[in-house]
Amino acid sequence: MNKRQNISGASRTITVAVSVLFAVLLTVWAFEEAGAADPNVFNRLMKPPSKRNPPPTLDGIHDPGSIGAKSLQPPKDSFSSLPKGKSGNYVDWVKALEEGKIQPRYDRLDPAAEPIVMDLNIVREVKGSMPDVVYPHKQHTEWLDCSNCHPAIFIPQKGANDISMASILLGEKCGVCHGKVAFPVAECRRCHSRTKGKEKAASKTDK
Amino acid sequence: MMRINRHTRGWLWVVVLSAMMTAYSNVIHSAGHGPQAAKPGAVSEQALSNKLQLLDRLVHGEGLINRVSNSDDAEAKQLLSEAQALWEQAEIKFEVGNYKAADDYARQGLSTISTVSRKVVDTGREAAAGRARYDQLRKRVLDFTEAFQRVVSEKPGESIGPLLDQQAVSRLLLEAEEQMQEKNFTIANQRMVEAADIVEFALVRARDKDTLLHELKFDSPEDEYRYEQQRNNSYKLLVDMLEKEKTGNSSGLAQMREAVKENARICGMADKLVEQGDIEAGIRTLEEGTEKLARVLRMSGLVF
Amino acid sequence: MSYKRNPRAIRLATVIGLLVLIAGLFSGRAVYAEYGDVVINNYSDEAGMSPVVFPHWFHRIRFRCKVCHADLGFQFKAGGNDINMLKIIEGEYCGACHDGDLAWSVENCDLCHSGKPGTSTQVHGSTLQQLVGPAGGGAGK
Repeated sequence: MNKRQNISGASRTITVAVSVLFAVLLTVWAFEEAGAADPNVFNRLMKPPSKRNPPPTLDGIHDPGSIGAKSLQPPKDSFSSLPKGKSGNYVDWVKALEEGKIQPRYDRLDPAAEPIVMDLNIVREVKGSMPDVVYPHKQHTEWLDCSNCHPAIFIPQKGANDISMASILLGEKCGVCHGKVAFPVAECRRCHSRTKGKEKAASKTDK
Repeated sequence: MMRINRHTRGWLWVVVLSAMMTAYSNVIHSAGHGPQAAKPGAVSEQALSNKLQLLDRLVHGEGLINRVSNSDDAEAKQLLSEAQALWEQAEIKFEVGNYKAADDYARQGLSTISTVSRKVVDTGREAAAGRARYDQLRKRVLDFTEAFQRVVSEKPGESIGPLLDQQAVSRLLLEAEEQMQEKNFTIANQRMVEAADIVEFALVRARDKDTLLHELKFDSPEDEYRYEQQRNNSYKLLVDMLEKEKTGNSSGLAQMREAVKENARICGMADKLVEQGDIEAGIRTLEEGTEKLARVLRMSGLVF
Repeated sequence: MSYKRNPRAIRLATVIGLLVLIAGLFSGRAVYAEYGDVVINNYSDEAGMSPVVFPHWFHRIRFRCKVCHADLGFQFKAGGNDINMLKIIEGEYCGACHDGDLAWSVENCDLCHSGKPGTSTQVHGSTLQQLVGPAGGGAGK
């Protein structure tokens, strides 16, 4: 005796389809999370774009149960309109400033204050085959004041500053900011930009 | 009415359980230790208790109370008693268990006491801060004036000197000093900032579009050897630090310890070569040692 | 079309689904904070508050480095500034802007004190910290 009424075939199919889809999605997600995926996957140490700039409740530092963390703006929302970078925040802050996408104040109270920008390049020769380092004051003085670095971090004198990659990684000299707030040193050519052999001693810049 | 048969029920259970587990696991992952209790909008007892403690300290702080009573600001006095009353109200609500109301009172109390603080400024602290800033700015002006003079001496042919209005700077420094004596810190520091800006502008114009080449030229082979030693030392410091603090990955640690030992041996070798008189060889040896350390750093994940 | 009544198939499907999810649970996904976030835990632990998480990115968009680090006296060092609530209310450090005028004021405790309890003072996401230890564990510079 057929006491129970079978639901129509269509509803059944839909339920099955949805569950299967769900199961498939979950499997994919689980494997993505587990990293049980291919150990030879391309660029396995790199964070895929989906994992960059996580919202405060998932970033590992904020307390996900706190009301504060839930009310804070997720970085991705803010970064969506800014030029992309390759490291750090994955935002190119210098470009964002140049293109006018952001208008950070130079003075706490005066939004119209203009920065004092110095256009001076320092070329540091390096040993070996790495291109020489070009330090551009222009991009830095748009953000910082002279006193932020001079003389506390860099003595403004030729030969007075010992800078090595290790000291930068340790958080000294350039590493006071780069590797902490400004872009980390993973992108070599951003600093090591003057190929050796070019005669540029004490000449004008080509900006 | 649709009666669900056991097949559909089975599938529905899969879906429901999956959804629950997904939600649960998301919370697990983000919390790291287990789901947290707070719901959005709810005020936790601990957080509220902290807020009330802070408010208590602020509205009953002797320093602030004295400042307010010594001042002529009637509004500040009134606001202070308002803030104290708000605290009492908040405490009452808290004890009763009405956390939402307690939180509201606490927030208002904090906002009010903030206003009071800013109305009745702590002159002692302000004076100390003003003085510190003045000294800092004065040093800045003098340092940068010195830097400007250095640029002038480096470029004797060009007329850079006039770029800096030394008279204006001196005048501003004098004015600032006078204001300082009269304890007008804000005005004094304003003058100082103006002076600093003049000098900075002069420096900017003096160096505009220049390129300074810092060559890697050494006065002597010994000099180069010292440079290499310092470089090697900085890498050694980094490896030491990582070796001490790195968690996990024991094979990486073993590699680092090996590298440190190897580097010590290489440094010894280099020193011996230098003693024997072959400084060039010593330098090359040290360079190799540094490169080995750099390699081990790269292998441990540092990208540089 | 009628299904074959197969309770075993249903049980199997449920078990597989659960296993897939359990795999996800134990996958140990690493979490990353926003680069440049500074956790400040000078006095928070003693006071029973969550530590403060200062987001550099949010402030970079609105202020140049000079405003805080040259004009307001913030040192380039996590934990290198002796900040406490009293100073903030008096208008020093964070209080220079978070005064209810330029930006919101001190009654919003949780917006700043939003860190995981017990996290030590550090610059999160810094190069060294990424090497030395996971979030919350390393003593960063």
